[in-house]
Amino acid sequence: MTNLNTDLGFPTQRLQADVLVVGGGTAGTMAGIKAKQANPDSDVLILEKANIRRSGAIAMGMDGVNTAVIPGNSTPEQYVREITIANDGIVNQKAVYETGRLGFEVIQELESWGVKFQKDPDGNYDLKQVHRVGKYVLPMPEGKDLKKILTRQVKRHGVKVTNRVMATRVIVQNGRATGVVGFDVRSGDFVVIQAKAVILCTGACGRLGLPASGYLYGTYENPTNAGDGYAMAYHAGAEMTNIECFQINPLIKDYNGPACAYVASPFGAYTANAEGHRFINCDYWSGQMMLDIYKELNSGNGPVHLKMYHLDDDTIAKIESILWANERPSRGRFHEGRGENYRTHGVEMNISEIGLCSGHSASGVWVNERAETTVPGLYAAGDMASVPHNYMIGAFVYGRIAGENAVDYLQSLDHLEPDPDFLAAEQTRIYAPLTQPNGIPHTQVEYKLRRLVNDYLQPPKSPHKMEIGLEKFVAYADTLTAMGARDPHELMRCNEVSFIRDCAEMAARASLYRKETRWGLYHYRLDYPDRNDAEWFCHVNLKRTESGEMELFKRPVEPYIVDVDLKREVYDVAVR
Amino acid sequence: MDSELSQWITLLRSPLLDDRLVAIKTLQHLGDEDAIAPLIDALQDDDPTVQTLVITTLWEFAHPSAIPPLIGCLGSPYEAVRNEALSALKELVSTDDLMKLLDVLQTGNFHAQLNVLVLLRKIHDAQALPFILPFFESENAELREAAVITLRYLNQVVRCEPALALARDPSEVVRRAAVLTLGHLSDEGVVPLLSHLLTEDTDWQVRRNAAQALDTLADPAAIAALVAAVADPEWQVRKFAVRALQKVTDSRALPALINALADESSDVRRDAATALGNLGQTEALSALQQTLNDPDIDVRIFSERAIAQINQTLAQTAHG
Repeated sequence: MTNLNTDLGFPTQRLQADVLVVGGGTAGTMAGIKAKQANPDSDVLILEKANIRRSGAIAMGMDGVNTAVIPGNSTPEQYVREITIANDGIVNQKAVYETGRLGFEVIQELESWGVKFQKDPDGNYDLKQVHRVGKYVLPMPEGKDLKKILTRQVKRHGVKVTNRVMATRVIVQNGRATGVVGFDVRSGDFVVIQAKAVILCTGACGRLGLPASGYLYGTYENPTNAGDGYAMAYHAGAEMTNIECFQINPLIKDYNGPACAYVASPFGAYTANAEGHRFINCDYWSGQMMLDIYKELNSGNGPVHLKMYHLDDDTIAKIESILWANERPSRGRFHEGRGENYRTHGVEMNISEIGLCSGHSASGVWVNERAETTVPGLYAAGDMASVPHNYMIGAFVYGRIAGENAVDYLQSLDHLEPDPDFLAAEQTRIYAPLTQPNGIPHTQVEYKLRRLVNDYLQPPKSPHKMEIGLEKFVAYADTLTAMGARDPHELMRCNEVSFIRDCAEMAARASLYRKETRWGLYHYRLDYPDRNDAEWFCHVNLKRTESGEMELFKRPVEPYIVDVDLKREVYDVAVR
Repeated sequence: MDSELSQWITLLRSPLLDDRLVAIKTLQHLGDEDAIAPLIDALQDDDPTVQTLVITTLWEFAHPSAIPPLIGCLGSPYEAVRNEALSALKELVSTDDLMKLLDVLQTGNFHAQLNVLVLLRKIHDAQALPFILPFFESENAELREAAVITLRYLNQVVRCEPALALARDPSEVVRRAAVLTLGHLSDEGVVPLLSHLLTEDTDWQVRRNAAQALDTLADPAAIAALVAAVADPEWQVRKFAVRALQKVTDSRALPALINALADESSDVRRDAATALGNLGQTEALSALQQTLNDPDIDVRIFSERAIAQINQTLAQTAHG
């Protein structure tokens, strides 16, 4: 047997852990901490392809919590009801309920670690109502150091961290997850990690569509999140769900960030059309709201903007200090460079490229209320695990659930020696671009792939376009073999492109399979413009068959634990 | 201590500035708690850049032993040093540090006093009250403002007569802060004073804050002033006056609220519709009907809800 990595001069590193967490962001740090708390004797390792101090979707910080269920303000039952309505009923309520039930404990624990949430003068959490229903937004005006605080706790709990190693595949033996393979993105070493349980926390698939700016990494989501976990879970045989429910967000035109209406609206800012009037029908952040925005953008009243110019100077200065100092320091420079000022200009908004992310919508790896995927020993949490509208608090809650359950699960298990044939095949696959350094650069291959995603998958969805897209995504597997890399960093990018291709194929197949329109703009089909509960009140799940085919099937919605009448209760209040 | 660490700690005392900066950044990345004591010593460095970086590093360690030395930095002559220490302490201070902070208030250092007044808001302890009160008389408007804001954050303090005087302070910045604090107090003079300021103060932000404070207090005694404020020249004053009238429902507000449905600000129109719905009087129905083609969708939605609410009240009265 020849080892391609050793032929290229890279040694193999072998590691072992009881619990292996892939991805050291919001969910991953919490999963590691909770696994260690559940059993301090267990060996817990977090694998991170960047550096855990500043990685993941909250790499810099976070200016607020979107889903805080604080006693006295709301209940887990209310929360479940609202998430159910916002998702047109397609939810596993038991899983959503856990976010409502455990979210407050998470907030209290973060607070004990030094994270400051906004409180009113009476010492109560200063929750803000930003939609016409529900009161779940809790500002974090000093949230810029959240990731540093989490890293400190990971260290204090004795969780091991391996930075700069990218996982590429989950090892599955005897029907259970037994580790991962990957490589060091600096040294190029081949890395094989045996584990008794694997928790995937790799975030969204944020590099699916191409942003209007044309920049590969100018995405709404953190651009390091290429859908690694979606692809790894799929290849491990785990079920994926609601992939056709795309993530689309309103964001600042030409700037890769949200307009932050959540932050600015309590101060009196709002989303307005070109005439300066509010226009959004929908009462809650959902695909229905995106459809309102899409329609207005494409009407005579577009473009739309975040309006602050009616506010006074002091109020605007306060908004600026939160938006610019906490979440995205580049934002102030962006406006300055364009000669724009919130005092005189609205912040022009656009609709983002598509992505997959359960944090904002519902697509992801199927998990139950114990964070278990359909593969034993494989857990998922955060933006890649389908618990709809989970946001940051949901990532913490499911990181915790995954960490605790994984420790419980692995008690009587032993490590398994990986199959050498599997390792050899994986080496050949991973390192192929390094064998042809003059192959097509990854940037070109990625750019074209994501242009195809924009051209053929961006809603409103046309069946013929999606068929063309699907054909091209399938054929693109061959294009990937022409990619070249000159160093381990480029090799990482090449492997990310292959993850993006997997996600694009899943997105096309799932969108073609569900023959109705649901979730507003997220799955707006031109050929089936109406919701069809009789045939499609179900999840669309997909998985890889033994023979390597992508199989799609309906999965029934579990019985509700909180009663919701979806005929009567809608957030689209539809006033003329 | 391992040799890798000790080499960087030695470098902390290098005569060359660049060496010291590199040493601190490295210690920050290593995150080894054995470096805490030498880092605390480095707070005495002559260079303010070094001091600031050391504070950032100690903040990352978040070890309680660093809190007293960081409090010592709050009065630094260098602005960057003071600000970094304040940011770190906002995260690190707890009730255990109350006495240390109160001691600083007794010193004559303006910066240290101002920063401690800010930090006391994180602790919420009413024991701080007697230490804060003397600042109400301070020559310095910034200290008066900071002290009256801090008062708002002290648990269990519901009466504080001296705060009323600050609502008549010559500085509008102090008045703006004082008025919001009064919204959390129940002294007899509070509602008449806020009512007076709502209609008479020359600064519109004071008037707006008075409306917000009266919204918090929801006292029917303020009704006349709130109705008058619905005609204020500043839209934000009108908006918060109308919001207060959503809670304090009184038929004397009816004509002003109906006028407000035609306000130039959509926020005022929307909030007036809700106030009229809460008031539940049929006289408002025809005016509300006219807003159903408002260009702003929020106004349309809330008018429709107000109409439904009034009709429901009517139906209940008819059956009751």
